[in-house]
Amino acid sequence: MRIDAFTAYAAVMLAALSLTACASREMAQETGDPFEPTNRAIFAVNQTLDDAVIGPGARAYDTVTPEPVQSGVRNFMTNLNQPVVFANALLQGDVHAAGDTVGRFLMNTTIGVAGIFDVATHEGVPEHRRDFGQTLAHWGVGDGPYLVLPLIGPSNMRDATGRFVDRYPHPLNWSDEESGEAWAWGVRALNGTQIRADLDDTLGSLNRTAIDPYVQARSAWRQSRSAFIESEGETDTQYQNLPEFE
Amino acid sequence: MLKVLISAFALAFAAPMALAQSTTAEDAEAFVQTQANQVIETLSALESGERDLASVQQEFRDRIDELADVERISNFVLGRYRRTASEDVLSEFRTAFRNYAISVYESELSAYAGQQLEVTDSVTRREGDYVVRSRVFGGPQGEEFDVNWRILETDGELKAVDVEVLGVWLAQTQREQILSVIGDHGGDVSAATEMLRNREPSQDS
Repeated sequence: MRIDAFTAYAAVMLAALSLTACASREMAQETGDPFEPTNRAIFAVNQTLDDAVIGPGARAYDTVTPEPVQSGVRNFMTNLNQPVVFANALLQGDVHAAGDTVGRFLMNTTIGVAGIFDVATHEGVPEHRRDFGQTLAHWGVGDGPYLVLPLIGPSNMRDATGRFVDRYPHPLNWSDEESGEAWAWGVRALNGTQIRADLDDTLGSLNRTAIDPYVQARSAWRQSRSAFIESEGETDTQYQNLPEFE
Repeated sequence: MLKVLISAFALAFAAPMALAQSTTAEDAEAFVQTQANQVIETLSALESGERDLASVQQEFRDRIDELADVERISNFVLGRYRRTASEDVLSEFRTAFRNYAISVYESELSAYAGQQLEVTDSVTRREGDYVVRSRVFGGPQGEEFDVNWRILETDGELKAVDVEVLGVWLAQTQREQILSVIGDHGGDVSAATEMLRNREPSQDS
């Protein structure tokens, strides 16, 4: 049942995607936003929620939580996500990254006490970042229309699909019964709070410099996401795609 | 005689060529490091109480043209509308954009007080067009991040036209916002000017 639902969802999503991969960050900026009125409405709701609850909550968490504890939370969440990284590294044909990721997961889960301590980095095993949106891009799937997701924020059709698929290799979803338990939702809420707290300075800077906050968030997210996807290759190459200043 | 003619020819053509190639990637790296060191010094003086905020803001206003090519950036953010708007409309936009850029410069640089910047390397896109990479560190929570600078040469002088933090280029983001405002108002550049003017007071407060 679960696989059927996934297959139907993935088929619809993939059919909607452009199969032409985005060649550059400049081109990514030119990609359309056909759902702009709906996206703007969701963006406004997200902003209101962030101003009223999520932002203040994250700042309160940041104030009362010592940095070593926050570091442990980040390490724990990153370690929990390693099966997702492993699956996508394999799907991208990157055997070295997959090997590093298995090594990191085993080392940090055991010696690193369930991932709270990042002993793998200390031992020189590099960390990799992979997700299914990136895998789709690696396979040549274009980013598709821009989307603003409730609570989560900026995305696009390809990466929203990726988020959905990445739920499956994630340990919090390995068991149907346990993934709905209060403790599992607690872990997800803690992860979201930590991410929001870490982004506070960046979001503050974006708010201070915005001309049109919606377009700014769209532009910043697209550039950042394109840079992440392009970072698989040589960064020098991406500089050749920068726009000209006449 | 032939020798004299060849020498004259060489002088006439080689001199402008030499002028066109007056900067190198090392110059661009040194430019970023020097400018950053001056800003860091000013921010340190502000932090230690040696200088007040008003004098620091005045210094930033006076020095912005030394650091950034504001006219080139304002032309860039206007995109194709630069060619269709009248000179009066363009002039008003440039003034409003300049004030906006100064307010961004003041508010964002102050956030870097107490941090250090170290140039790591650079990429030459073509002659006179460089991306200088740097690392910012020493913040209150020990965070480190990359900041990349797009440096262009104009008339033999190096100036910044864009800066990238966390994969996001500032001028490109500003361009998309301004083009969106102008596009939503049927190509009217004055709409963007008005929007920039309306947001200025909140930045200055």
